[in-house]
Amino acid sequence: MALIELSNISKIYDTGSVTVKALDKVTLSIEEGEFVVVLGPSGCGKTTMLNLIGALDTPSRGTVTIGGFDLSTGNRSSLSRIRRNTVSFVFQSFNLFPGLTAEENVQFGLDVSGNKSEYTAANVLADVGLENRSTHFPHELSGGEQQRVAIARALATSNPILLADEPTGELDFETGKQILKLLVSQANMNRAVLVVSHNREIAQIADRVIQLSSGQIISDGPPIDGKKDVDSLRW
Amino acid sequence: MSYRALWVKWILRDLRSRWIQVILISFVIAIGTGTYSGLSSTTSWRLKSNDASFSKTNMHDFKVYSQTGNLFQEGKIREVLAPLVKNGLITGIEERLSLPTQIKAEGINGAIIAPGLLVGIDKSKGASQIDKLHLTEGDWGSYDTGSKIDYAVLDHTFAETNGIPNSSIIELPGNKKIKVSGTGLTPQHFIPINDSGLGFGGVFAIVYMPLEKVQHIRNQEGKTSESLITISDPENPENLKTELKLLLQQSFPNYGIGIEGKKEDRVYKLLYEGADADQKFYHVIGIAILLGAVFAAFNLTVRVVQSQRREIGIGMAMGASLLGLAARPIILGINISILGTIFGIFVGKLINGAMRNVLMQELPLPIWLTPFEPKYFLWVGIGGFLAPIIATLVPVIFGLNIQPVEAIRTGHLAPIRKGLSPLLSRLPLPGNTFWQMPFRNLLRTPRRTFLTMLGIAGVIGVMTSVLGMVDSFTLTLDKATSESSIKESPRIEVVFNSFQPVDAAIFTYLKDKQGVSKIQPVIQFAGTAKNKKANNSDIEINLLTTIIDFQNTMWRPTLVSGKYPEEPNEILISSAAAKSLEVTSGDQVLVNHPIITVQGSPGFLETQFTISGIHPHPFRAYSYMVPSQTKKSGMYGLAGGVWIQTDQSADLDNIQTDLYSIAGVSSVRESGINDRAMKEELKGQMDILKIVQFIVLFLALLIAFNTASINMDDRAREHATIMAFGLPVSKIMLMSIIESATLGLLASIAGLGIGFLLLDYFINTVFASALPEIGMYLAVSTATYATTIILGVFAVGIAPIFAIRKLTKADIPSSLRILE
Repeated sequence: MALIELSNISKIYDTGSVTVKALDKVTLSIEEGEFVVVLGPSGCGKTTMLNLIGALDTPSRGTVTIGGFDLSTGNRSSLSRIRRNTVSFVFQSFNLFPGLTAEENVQFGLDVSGNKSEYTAANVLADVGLENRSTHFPHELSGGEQQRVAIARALATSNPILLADEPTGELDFETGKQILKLLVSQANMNRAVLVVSHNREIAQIADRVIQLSSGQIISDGPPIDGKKDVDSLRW
Repeated sequence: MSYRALWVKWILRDLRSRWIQVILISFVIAIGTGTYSGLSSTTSWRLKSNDASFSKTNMHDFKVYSQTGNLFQEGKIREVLAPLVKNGLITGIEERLSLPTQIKAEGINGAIIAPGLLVGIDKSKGASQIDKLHLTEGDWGSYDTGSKIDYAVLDHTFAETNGIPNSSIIELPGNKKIKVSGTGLTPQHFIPINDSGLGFGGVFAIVYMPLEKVQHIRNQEGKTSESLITISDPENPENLKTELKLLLQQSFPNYGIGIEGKKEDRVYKLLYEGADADQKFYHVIGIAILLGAVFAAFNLTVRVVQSQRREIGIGMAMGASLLGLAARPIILGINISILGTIFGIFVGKLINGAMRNVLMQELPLPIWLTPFEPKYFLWVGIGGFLAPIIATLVPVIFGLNIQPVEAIRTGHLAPIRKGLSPLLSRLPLPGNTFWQMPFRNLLRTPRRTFLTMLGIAGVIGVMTSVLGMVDSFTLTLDKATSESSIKESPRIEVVFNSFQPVDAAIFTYLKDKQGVSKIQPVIQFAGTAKNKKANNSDIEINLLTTIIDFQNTMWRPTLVSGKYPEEPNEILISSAAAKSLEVTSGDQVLVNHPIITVQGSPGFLETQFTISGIHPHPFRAYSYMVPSQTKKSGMYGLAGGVWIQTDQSADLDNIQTDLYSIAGVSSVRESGINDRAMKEELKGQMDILKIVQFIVLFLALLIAFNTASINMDDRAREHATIMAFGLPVSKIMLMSIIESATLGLLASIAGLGIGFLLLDYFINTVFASALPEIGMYLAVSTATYATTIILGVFAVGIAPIFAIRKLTKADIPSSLRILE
């Protein structure tokens, strides 16, 4: 069974006067170790899909199964457990805790998942190139650095699914490449990595590229020009 | 849509999304302003009601009496003062016979034997015109021809407190049975007071009967003890007082004529001075609650408005008018102000109602005038109205005076990078990051934490002082009880009508009486003690002196310092008296005490006394001298009363009833009767404290809830992120509770400090002037410390639970999408 399975899901936002169909009958499955990039214009439902996979939201129709568990049957506690032990998020707007330093934010990821590995928060922070910023608070970091802390925090959980919403949006080219290498390495470690992006270049390093438009999958397959190495990217 | 319409719509949306906070903050202000105005109105009520009550009962301007206790022949004073009546200086004279007595009655809790006063009122002209009896129930009774029963009107408070119904039978000494025909009160006894100067509402009985009946019952036919006088110019009584004194001293040379003006009357003074002194107490409590509430409301409003500062910055960046930008938060503040004022009037009226009930129960004046006093509400209402507006203006002005880019960056979650913040936010903390987070949140915004803590601490401070007052009252009463009581068995104090030789038959009779184990003859008299202050002004206090043998085996006071008197002209005084007189053991005071001259007539003498020691009884007047003192005061070998210690198995009620029927016994009472009076005196204050306690607790909860609710809004995104990482709502709630409880703990500790300062002021300043006769002991019990901290931590700590809905109903994706 696939690690992530979306079966005929729709997500409809009813604001009273207007009904918005964010996702419409989407079906897909993602295996362990897959690096998937979801592409599409703003408002096409990318983030909604990420939220549904991350058990942050529930679909209006259809089922989402994560690691064999049907999220629609879950209660608040079991959904929390899924988020704690199965998925990790990198948010588009970072969502770092302003009261915690960079290292403490990463430590939060370790603490929350109960990850007892030898790999410390400092190690993870070093992986994203921020070893010399560990004692800085989020407001003392640039947007790009905050982004990297957010990624480090998600990586620290070591959960089998990594969901990243525009993870390179705030980063310069070189740093972006560094982060992408890190994400690819996560997939190589048998994690399912799902990246939402506008950037078509990033799609070239994915195992699969899913294109969304108006809430529907319009294409799902490997990159058109074949999978490339991160170092060969240009944007 | 026009630009203006857009703003209006936006403002309405703000209000709709914040309506709970607007209402709750308004309510915080309302409690402050309402409590202050509600408590402050009482002085005005009391003064108005005092005026109306004394006027309705036509209180005397002068009372003429004999300081030596001599009785006057009825009509004699009227005769002496006839010239002054004739020339119109005196408008009325009425004679009365007031004699100490003892009554036995059946109340709801069984038989009561109480000391009291039998007051004969001249009804020969139909009804009395001066110091009129105000009937609260019944009438004087109808004496039918041949009727053998006598009627009496019983003091309203005594009847009410003890549940003595109308038409019941009471008994006076000599087995004299009297039917209660009504209840009422006269101005001299609006608060029943005995020699100790304490209000004895429930334990001191005033019995009103027609003058001739009292004369007959007490075998004092044609005698009166006092004359009540009204004059034509009550505003300028001094000249007439001098004239009266001269005239009456000439006519009654051995009577030690006393003329007491209306304003010297103890009840009159107590009612007017008490109103002022009590007001100090209410005022301080009201101010403390008001400040706590306004400060909290200010803080909360600032926090609500701060969340809009970033929007102000965006507006500035887009060139919107400053007025338009300021309008949204200011209108929010105005809404809080308007609602706070409206709620404040309601809260004020509610507290007025509670205070009205307490006052009417504690002080049964004939007339109570308790209107809503807008003037007391006006000033605090204006303050309460302005606070939220100023609270909105501060962040708005600050927001408008910085660069737009700064305002945009300064969101409600933005850190403060000045002051202690950088230092505190780096404090190393133990534990997991999510257990550190509550403390980090408090430390990274130290100013906000401090201000919120101070708002709660102010309220907790008031609560601590209120609980501390209850502790102090309890300790004071405990001190009194332990000082008065004998461990083995109760002590009965018997007072005679007149001095008896210590070898009189009555002592042998009492000693041999069944159930009596020991007797101790005593002399007790009232006097005064005087000392010069450092500024040379005199301090004078009342004394109730007992002459006892300090070597007796029944009872003696304990010592706080010094030693028991051994020689004449040595006196043992209370620590309260020592404090009032500003003296200590070994110092000298001038004591005005009674003497019996060689001719046998009583009088007063001022003598220098050395303070041999100090005892701990809180009743200031209690003082003690050695028996050899009686040689100097002409009372050697005499006793005015006797203390009786009973066998442990003896039936106290029976012994009291037996003693009470002995001829010559004026009163029989269990020791510690004054302690009961003190308890009665403090009961009124305790009732008010209960109201205050409730208000304060409610206010603390309301502030804590508001803080928690605003915190929840502020942290919505943070909480959503935590939830996205899979932490359950219960853990987030626990983190919020830890944060609030830490705030509560800090506030409780600060509150204890504030509370102790307030308590010290209440006990040593306010109560010292409101109840000078009682030397209050200041105490804060371990229970109060524990209660304050537990309640502070608990009440503030649990507050986030009330906002749990915000967490359970949180739209995580929406919250996560919000950009700072």
